[in-house]
Amino acid sequence: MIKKIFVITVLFTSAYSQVDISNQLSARYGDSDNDYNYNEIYLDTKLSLNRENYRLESILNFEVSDPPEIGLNANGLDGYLFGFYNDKFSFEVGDIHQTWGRGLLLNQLDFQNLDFDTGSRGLGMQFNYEGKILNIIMGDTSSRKSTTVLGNYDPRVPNYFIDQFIYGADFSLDIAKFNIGTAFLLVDEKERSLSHILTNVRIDRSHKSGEFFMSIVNKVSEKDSGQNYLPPAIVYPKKDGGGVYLSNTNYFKNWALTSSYRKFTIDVNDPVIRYNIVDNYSQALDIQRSPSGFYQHTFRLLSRTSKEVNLNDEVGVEIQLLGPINDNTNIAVNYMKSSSSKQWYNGLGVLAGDWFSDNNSLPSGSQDSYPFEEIFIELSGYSPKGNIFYKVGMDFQDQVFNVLSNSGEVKSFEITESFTLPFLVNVAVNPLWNVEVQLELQKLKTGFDTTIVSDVDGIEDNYSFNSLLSEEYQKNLFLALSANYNQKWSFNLSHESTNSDESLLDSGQDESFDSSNDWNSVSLAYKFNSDHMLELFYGSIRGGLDCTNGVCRYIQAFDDGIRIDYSRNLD
Amino acid sequence: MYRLFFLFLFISTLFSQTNFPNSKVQLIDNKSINLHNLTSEVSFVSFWATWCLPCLKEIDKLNEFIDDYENVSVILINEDRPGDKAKVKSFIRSRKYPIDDNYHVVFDFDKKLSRQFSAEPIPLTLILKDNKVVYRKRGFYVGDEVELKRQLGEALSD
Repeated sequence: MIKKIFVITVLFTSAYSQVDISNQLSARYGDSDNDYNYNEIYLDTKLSLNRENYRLESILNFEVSDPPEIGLNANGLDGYLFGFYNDKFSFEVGDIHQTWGRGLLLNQLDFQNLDFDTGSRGLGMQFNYEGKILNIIMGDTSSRKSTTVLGNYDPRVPNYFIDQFIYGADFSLDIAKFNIGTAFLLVDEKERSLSHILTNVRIDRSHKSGEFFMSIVNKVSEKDSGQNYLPPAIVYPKKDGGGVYLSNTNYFKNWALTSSYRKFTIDVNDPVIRYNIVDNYSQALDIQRSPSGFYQHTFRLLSRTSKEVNLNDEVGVEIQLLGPINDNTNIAVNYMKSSSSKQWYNGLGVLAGDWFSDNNSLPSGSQDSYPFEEIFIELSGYSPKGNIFYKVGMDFQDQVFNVLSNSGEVKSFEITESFTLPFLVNVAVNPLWNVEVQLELQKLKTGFDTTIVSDVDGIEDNYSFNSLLSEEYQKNLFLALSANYNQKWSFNLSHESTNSDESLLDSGQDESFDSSNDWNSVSLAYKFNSDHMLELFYGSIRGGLDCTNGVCRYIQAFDDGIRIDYSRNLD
Repeated sequence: MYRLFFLFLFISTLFSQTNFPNSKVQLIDNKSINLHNLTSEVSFVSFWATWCLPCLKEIDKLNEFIDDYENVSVILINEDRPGDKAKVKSFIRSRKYPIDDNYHVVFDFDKKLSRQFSAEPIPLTLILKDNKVVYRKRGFYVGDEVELKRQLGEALSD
């Protein structure tokens, strides 16, 4: 039915030439030795009718994929949105994406490359009157993930699905020089008999010499114990969690100093069940995103060691200084430190499974509380003539991401330490040729830090480190060369290598595991016009973490294959 | 399904044209305004983010020559995360982007404009004449500014 309505709408509106129509077509094909094969076509069509006092708009997303690069097969209309907009009111039906405040309560995203879409199919409204804004949302949200908690894990195909019905409202207004907002959101999940109530208040103050922002969120989750008359009856406790985020920025001429503090305790759990996204029914929702708390790296190797903010249990600070050293050079200095909001102790040994904790109100450096620390310094700028652009950085990271045992006898932590030097230079050789070189070097250590505590006087503790790699230190290198001719042709070569394989990370169950030590590729792209491009690729790409705007997902390696990408704007 | 797909493609291609919408947007000083209040007879629009290197190169080049085009307004549509608002403001300040009555940065946190123009992957650059898109370009290499200047010149002389 809906397809017929679309076709009739298009025919009708086109015939009268009242409507703007815009189309973007993209087609992608991939075929590799490790069965990373995909075949997908996307067409985004937008229709809009612009009148003096209002605008009508529809967005239609078609997808034909079998299989897609990531996610589930699709064959037809994948998304749609109809909207009415004027100065004071907007009304939308279809796939709604709203962001309230800075996203701590609601931030709906759509990242096709990560198969991450937290939009709601339903309706959304906005009333806007003299600085007072009311947003309303109601609809079904479906998110999907690949998780190792369930048996049939595949990094490309989701094995865990969450369907929720959400409804709520957000109101903000200007009072004096402040913008104040408040919101509530109710979330029902039939599959797991769950309901969540989220509330938020926030305050924003922008002034000439800086800005201040604070947001507080509370989340209450209840799970129905059901009609279970047979003992033992399971009673699920009501769980109450929350979070606070503070950020302050000050400007000093052209320099800016931003500092932020966050404490999130939406679902605090002991180390044994901390990462179980299936059974922890009160975890932060996918529609929630923390305001910043990490650096968005653009370099390849640094992107793989990125850290996502953990809304369930994290306390952190971040300081960033940005400014120009001279007319051609900018510097950015970033310091981030975070830890779990609790410090965990395994009092009776691992098997007993009893964990005790102390609170952290500031990020702790103790290994018992999942500490993370990063320092990143970056210089970027142009040569005096302006034809050479460069970016060079230095990054230190130190993280404990698993507390395995912390008893009086044995302490064992899964850790990662890295040091990365990224460098990029782009040279406009002449009006026709443009050349870019990107080089990244990384020294990385990952494995288990274990200490057997001696209880005998005179005998020292026994410390050992068991690497998860074939060498204690992994040395990674990424090198990319690209040349662009006449803004039409682009030629790219990339090489990535490591000194140690990751076979110790392979449990033997993952058929897609990549045990290579080097990955090479070559690609050629041609631009037919300013928004019409074809790219051919041959070679291999190393797998690993892929992060887009704070959302990270493990991406499978692409082994010795071809890729063809085509995109065209049809306006 | 394929028939519907190609029918859509065919019909919509025949009638394609794009007006720049008069959406309500938020400026970096938190004020709300309609887009048409920011545009002029000829406008330069770019979708960008602080983590997008080609976007930054494009804006740096734009800032070198835009003073020569007095009647062209610039609208930079930011695609960073809403949580990075403070960082975006700091970034603009440290890079000395010449924000004034003719040079604007707006936030697109809910990605409405991005979806409407299929802006991903960024940068996506538009040149508008009387709020109609007359030129559209994706990506940026140093040297592309020559074509951008030519397109601006054409739009101004039409």
